[in-house]
Amino acid sequence: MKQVNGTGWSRVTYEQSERRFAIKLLLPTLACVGGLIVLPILYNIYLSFHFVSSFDPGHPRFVGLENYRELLQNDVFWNDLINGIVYTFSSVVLQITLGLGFAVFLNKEFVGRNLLRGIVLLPYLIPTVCAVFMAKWMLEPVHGIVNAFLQPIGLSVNWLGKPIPAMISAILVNTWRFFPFVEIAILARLQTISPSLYEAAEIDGANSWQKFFHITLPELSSLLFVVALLRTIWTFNDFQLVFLLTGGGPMNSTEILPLLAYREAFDNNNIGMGCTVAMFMTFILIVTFGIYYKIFKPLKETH
Amino acid sequence: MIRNLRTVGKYSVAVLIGGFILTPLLWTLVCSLKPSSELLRYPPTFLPGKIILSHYYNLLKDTFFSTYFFNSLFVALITTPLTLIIATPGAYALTRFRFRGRDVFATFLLFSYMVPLLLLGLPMFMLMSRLQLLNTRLSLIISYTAFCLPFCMWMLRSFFLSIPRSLEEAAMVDGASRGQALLRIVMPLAMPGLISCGIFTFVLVWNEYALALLFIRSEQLKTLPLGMAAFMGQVASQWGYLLPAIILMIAPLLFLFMFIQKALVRGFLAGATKG
Repeated sequence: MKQVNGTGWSRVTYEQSERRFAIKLLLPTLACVGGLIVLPILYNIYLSFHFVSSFDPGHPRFVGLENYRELLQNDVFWNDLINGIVYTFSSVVLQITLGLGFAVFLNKEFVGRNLLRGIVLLPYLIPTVCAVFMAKWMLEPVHGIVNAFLQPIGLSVNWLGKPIPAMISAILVNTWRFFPFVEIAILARLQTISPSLYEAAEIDGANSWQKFFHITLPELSSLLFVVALLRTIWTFNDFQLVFLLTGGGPMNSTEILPLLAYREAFDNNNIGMGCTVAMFMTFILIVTFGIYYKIFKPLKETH
Repeated sequence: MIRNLRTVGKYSVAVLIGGFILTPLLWTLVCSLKPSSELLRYPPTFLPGKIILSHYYNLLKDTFFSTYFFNSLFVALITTPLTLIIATPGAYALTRFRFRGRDVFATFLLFSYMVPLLLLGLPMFMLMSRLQLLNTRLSLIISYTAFCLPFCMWMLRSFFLSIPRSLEEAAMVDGASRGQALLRIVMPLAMPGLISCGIFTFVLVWNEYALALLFIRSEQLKTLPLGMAAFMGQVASQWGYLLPAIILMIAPLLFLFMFIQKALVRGFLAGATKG
């Protein structure tokens, strides 16, 4: 750098101009992320220490840790946390099972495979509000097609009106709506498994199940873990599906934390408490994200 | 014989899978075409005795459905290009330049892609209320841009990573500036990625309910998910309105779906230059 000859000089300006260009390109993103993501998150932390009436949001009153104390002492919080765990765990297990099964099947060769591959993606595209209302129509206690099929075996279930059937309905709708995400990811990975592995196993006399358990599953294991983790985070934090399907009812039996945050903020008239619930959801996310990051180092391809 | 059995088995599974996905859609479509009297008949009729379009007609005539549809389309068609315009240069810079804090920033983007919507929603409600932006389409456009940005950045970043650096470096050796190389060489190759990303953003916005619920009050400004949820509250012949509304809300997505498949295939082809 000391040497100010022609080439050295032009090299410095080149680097400078590169840096200026990079800053210009990044500026809009940085402004948006700063103003619309970082700032609201910090503001959420601030609000969680305040009482904020939803009728008069302009005057937050500092209450220290009061919201946190009250929330942890509230039985509904623990009820919703457990509901969230049941709902998330069951949905994710079903999504992985269906996604894996469908992906393995759609990896076989048959006429119409491409059409079926397209059809399987559909639920992921369909708005949640549509999926929920289709489900409500099918689960209607009197006119619904599901009960019409159950009638001959003497069953008639009030799907959304009883605690356990309501939870089952929410899990099934979530599974239908989101399993294609799992299926797409697995199918893409299946296509990269070398056929020679299967050929070698066949020579050794392995049957289909042995091939599945000793080749396919081990090859998919790390992908399955990532997919399960992502689906867990998204299912645990999703507000829309359960809110529209059951509204958390009957009697809080399907209420989960995002619904509690909304209810505390607007029905119970304390936005600060809603923010406190969001803080707990974020805490759980950070722990999960930390595990994901430690194991998979998602940035490693840039180095 | 065994081979035949296997074939039969395979196609039965295929039909089961197809049925699992399509039954709710087809049943909704069929019911949306039934006369009201048949809609609430017990037991349900599987094929309508008479096909009528009056539910669709009533939906458009009696309700705000067309307003909701327009609002959703308006918000989605502004948010999508806006997000792409902000995200594209940012994602490019993340893949091509080394600077302090780059990896921290990329990690934060991945993190904010997973952040609970309400963590942003409640403080945004407060900010919008301070800025007098509650109950405006602008509040939706701003918050949806923020909500889609991390996802878009992350997706575009992987598209840019798949475009070999050597192509722009060659152009720059031939005397093109960095900006020219970006516009003439990289952008055309990144186009399939941009299209896929745009379609996914559109779908995300079309689906969004929670933020709209927080920000929008008046009937004239409601988007489709919000407006349809309001139908549910009304009594009597609500299903006569809801069933055709579901079909009409899905229709544009099915139209886009054909492009998604194409855009994805093109995306893979663009990656092929990597060899």
